[in-house]
Amino acid sequence: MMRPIWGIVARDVRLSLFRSESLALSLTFGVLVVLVFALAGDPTKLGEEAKSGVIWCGFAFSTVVTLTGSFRRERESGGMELMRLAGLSAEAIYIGKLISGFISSSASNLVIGAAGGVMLGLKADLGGLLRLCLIAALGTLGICVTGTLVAAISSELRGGEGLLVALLMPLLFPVVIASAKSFGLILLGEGLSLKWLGVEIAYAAMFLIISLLLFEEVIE
Amino acid sequence: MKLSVRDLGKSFGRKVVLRGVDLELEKGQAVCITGPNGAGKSTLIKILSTLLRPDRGEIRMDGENPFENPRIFRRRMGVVLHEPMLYPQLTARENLEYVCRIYGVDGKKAEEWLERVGLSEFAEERVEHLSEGMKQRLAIGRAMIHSPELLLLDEPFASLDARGVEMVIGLITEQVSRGGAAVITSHMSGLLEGVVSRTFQLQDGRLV
Repeated sequence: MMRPIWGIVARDVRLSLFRSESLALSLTFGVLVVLVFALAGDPTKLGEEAKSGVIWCGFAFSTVVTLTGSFRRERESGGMELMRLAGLSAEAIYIGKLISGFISSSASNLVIGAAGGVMLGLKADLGGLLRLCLIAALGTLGICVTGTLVAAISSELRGGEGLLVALLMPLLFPVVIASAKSFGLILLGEGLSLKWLGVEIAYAAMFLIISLLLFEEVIE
Repeated sequence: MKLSVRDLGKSFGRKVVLRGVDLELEKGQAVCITGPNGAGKSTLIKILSTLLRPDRGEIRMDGENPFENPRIFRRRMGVVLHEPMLYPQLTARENLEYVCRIYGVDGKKAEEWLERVGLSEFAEERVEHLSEGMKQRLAIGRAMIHSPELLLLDEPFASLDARGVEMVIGLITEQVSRGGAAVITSHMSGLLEGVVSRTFQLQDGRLV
């Protein structure tokens, strides 16, 4: 089971990061969100929690764009049919797409986070930075867990990309809010909030189980 | 693989595409299905590949219903549809290496099949830069790389030049002679004389 999953991940990451407009598009969206907030007023007057919210808007938009691009490529090339014809299980396809979506999104979120940090004047010591990275990774994973399922559904429907945003954004509220809250508390120097960390983990675990149960129905 | 199709029916909305298709195919046999555009040839190939469910009728592969456990049967098939099922931004070699990975076959097969379909010198070209004929050759290599028992080819000669046609006929002949089976749809059934055991016309949703 691991070789096909690795095959999907390697192929998808190569396409997302090096062979398509996907990375540029997701970076543009994400950085633009942060830039608008940074230039609209005086960033020094924004509270740390508000800055976290801005950063997480950028992360969420960028990740959705990455996942949309990934499934658009599958639809246009018949890639999903190819994976089905190879006899891959729905779980293997889902896990492969999830991991590749997570890697590609993390790459763009890293740049957006760095750009946001500079533009919004975020300050954190090394420990704080590591905690921010942990929260960013968990939050991105949560978005990808749900986003991979919803992107697969919407890619099969007419007008699917518009539908993806409409379907996905409400589902993402819990994980985006939990991540933004955690970010804000770390930036305020209050350390890692176990409550919000728990929400992120529970969200990812719950939607992972739901997605694994539903993915076969979606692709078949 | 023994394939048996009984009274297969498929409609899209009010349009009835297949009205009762019957087909028998044994190991070492190939059949050609002709018919005008829109006759339902591609629909039939998609149903046989289990990518599309029929509305009625029965398909048996070695006596079993492939829709009950499609993953097992799909691995035993090689399928070429209208879409080449290739990633345009990947090179010819990268596409075949990816197929090797997901089918769990030796990665060296990618090189072997690039040579067999005459694309060795274009191995590092992105698929989006290849001609339609080259894409079709690559799609046929992609479908055969795992040595399938049943080959389902929808218009395999589309966009091919004379050498490409000759190459595909050679590959189908080899498939049949090694005990595999093949269902081929084509407007150019004459090219397959001597390769296929029967030629059917898909007319009014039935094979005649």
